[in-house]
Amino acid sequence: MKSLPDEKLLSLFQAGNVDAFEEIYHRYSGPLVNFMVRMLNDQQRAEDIFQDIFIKLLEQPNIYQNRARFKIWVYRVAVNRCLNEIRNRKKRNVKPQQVTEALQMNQKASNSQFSQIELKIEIQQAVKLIPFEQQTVLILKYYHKLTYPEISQIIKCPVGTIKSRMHYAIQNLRELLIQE
Amino acid sequence: MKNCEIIQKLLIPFTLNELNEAETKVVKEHLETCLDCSRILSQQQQLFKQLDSWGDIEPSIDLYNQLKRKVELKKKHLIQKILVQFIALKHYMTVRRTILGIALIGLICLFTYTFDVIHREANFESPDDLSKIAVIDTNKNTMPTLIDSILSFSSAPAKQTKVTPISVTSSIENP
Repeated sequence: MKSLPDEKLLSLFQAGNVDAFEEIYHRYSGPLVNFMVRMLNDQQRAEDIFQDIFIKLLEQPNIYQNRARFKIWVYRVAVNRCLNEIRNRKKRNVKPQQVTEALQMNQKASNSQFSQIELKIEIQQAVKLIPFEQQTVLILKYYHKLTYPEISQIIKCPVGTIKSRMHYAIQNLRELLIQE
Repeated sequence: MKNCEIIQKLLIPFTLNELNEAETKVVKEHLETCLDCSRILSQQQQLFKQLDSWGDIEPSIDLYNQLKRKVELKKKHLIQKILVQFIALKHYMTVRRTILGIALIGLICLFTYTFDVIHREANFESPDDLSKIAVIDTNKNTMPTLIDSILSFSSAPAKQTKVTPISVTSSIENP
């Protein structure tokens, strides 16, 4: 089961094999939760959204129609859900929990851990300040090692646009973080 | 300057080792002579180190068990919802059935009454037809049947028994 490709696992699952679903779930729990935590800065909320995506897949196995690779499909769903969550937050004026938790940890940390946590908070805050489209490309490219064509399929933009967004994301972060 | 613009666009893929051999050679040669681009590269490398400080995030250990619990809870709620809707529908169906039943009985009664009226009217339309249907043999010394008595009542006047009309005035005069 572990060596089977995603699409094969999905067809087994759609035929009724629950073990195939579990394998797909474990395969993507790490990467997707990682992605959504970085996008939303809230692990609890990221896990809730991740669970919702897979509960929907469990209830409606045919929601994935094999038009694109499963990896592309699931990342696309995750990106859209993150975008909806951020929009809802703006409406409700809610602040993400992770930054405040990190700040609390910062107060308790020793000197050696201090700079590391501080760096982490800095980068989290800086990433939140750049536009959503640039954040998405940066995280998918830098942390998830996806290729530009894959990111282009996920976000449904040309490869040139993706490269441009990556370039501006790095430029903006450099201006925010690096002191001359 | 134009070279710098082109090289600066290649610095990110250069840092991420995404350039081919020829492009890498061009960038390296430019960096040896251009301080601005070298400074930008140095800043980018520092930035990437900072990005690395945002380490991997591990999901909760029992995430899959949480999913199973959520699914079971959802099924329970769905069953409860269906049950509530079924009871509501059953009540609605009972009321509807009662109304339909009463309406049906009413229709049957109306139909029966209408048929009865039509049938009766059809029966008394032509008494001659009735006399043809039932032939009475008055010579036979038989017990008169109900039909005979009905027929005798409705048949030709000659066969009727004579009835002395009672004069109203005479009865008043002679009580």
